Amino acid sequence: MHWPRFAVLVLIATLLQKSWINTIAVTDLRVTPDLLLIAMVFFAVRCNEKEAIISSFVLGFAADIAATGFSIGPLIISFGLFGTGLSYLHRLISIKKVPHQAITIFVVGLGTAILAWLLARVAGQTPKPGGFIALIGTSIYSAVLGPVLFLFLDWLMPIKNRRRGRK
Amino acid sequence: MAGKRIRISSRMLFAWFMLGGLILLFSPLGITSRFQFAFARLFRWPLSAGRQMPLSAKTELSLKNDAEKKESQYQNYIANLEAELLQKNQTIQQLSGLRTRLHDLEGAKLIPADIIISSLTSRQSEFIINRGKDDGVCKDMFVIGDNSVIGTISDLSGRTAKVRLFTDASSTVQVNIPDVETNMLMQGAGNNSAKIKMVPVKHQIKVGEPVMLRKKPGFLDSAMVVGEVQQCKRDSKNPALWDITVKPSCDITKLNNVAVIIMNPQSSGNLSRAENAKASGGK
Repeated sequence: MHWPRFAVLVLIATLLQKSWINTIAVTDLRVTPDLLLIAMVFFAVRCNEKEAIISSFVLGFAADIAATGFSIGPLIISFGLFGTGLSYLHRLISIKKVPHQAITIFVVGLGTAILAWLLARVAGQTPKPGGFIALIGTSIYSAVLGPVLFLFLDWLMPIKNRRRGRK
Repeated sequence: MAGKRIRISSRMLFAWFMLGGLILLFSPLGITSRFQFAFARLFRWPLSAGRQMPLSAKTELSLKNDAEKKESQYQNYIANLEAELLQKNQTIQQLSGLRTRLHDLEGAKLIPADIIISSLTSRQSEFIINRGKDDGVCKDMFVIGDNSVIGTISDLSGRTAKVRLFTDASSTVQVNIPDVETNMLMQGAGNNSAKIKMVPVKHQIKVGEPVMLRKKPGFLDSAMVVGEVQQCKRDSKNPALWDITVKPSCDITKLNNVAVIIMNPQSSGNLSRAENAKASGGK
């Protein structure tokens, strides 16, 4: 894993998520994809466990910075949990085909958002209601865009698969 | 020894990160929001540049309208002027014009602010502006954009502040409609709109009527327009009540700068950066 390259990638993704992403918003609900979620799934299924854990938590921190209606914390934990879980799951189930990648991004997108919302409530914060339709829209948009971005990320971050599990 | 690598198991790594996440989660909001403000301040330029892209794209698309053409001509005209002088002049003109039009703000101080980040999604409607405590801005102060109130200060640091727009799902304000003699609560609905509920159907409400923000002593000494009625239909759950949809009076997506209202400037302490800029511009 090229960590300096990873740091630059996270920074660019966070800046894009915070500013430019509204350009590609669709429908009246202004649904946008979640670039950091896509990156989290990418690193969770491409890297070994340790790298997946680090990258998931770092991307969660970046997602919290990108202000999704919570204060810092909920997305770090939910990204970390889902990224780590996905990394371990990838040892058992291969997520290489495009439909599998899209389904994974969709499920993880829903899961991280719901968990982050619950964590924010537990911490006594008042997370914004948001709307379930918008949440599903974001997950679908990310799932559609994700496999395309995976090709770009594969080119940008060539990662040797050193997993102990299935190949 | 110095070159010896520290080996740590995956489980320990996960546990440490989880602990860090939990500490941040349960830390006071005032501390953790500093990360967001610091990020906004540090990367102000790329964030602003990224925000300008959709704005310029929208401008190109809407050039068909005559009004938009005039706006474009105005933009070309001002582009010929010197940048720094232009910025200061624009600020002064904006404020003096606003005061002339809105007499109730004559005694108030208006702090001009640029929008660093705008988060206008279905889930949140917020701005981060480049004014903060150092400029005399306080929590709950009202923010004006294009002569209408657009939101309140929800959080702030030394040199930046977060503006929660009235369309944000967590925003609730007291409003009224001039011809309707009843107090109403307006709740943000996301998606660039807000809702007014609990209004009996005995009141006649017309589409297009202005929605006024009620005065709040110390923060807003007179009612100001906040939006207009976009849709008025019977509530699906309770047909005896209206379900009113309100849209903001200005196009929030095209706003580049706003102004924070300080109704009692004497108590705001030291001279703000905005005043300094104004004073130097006036010489």
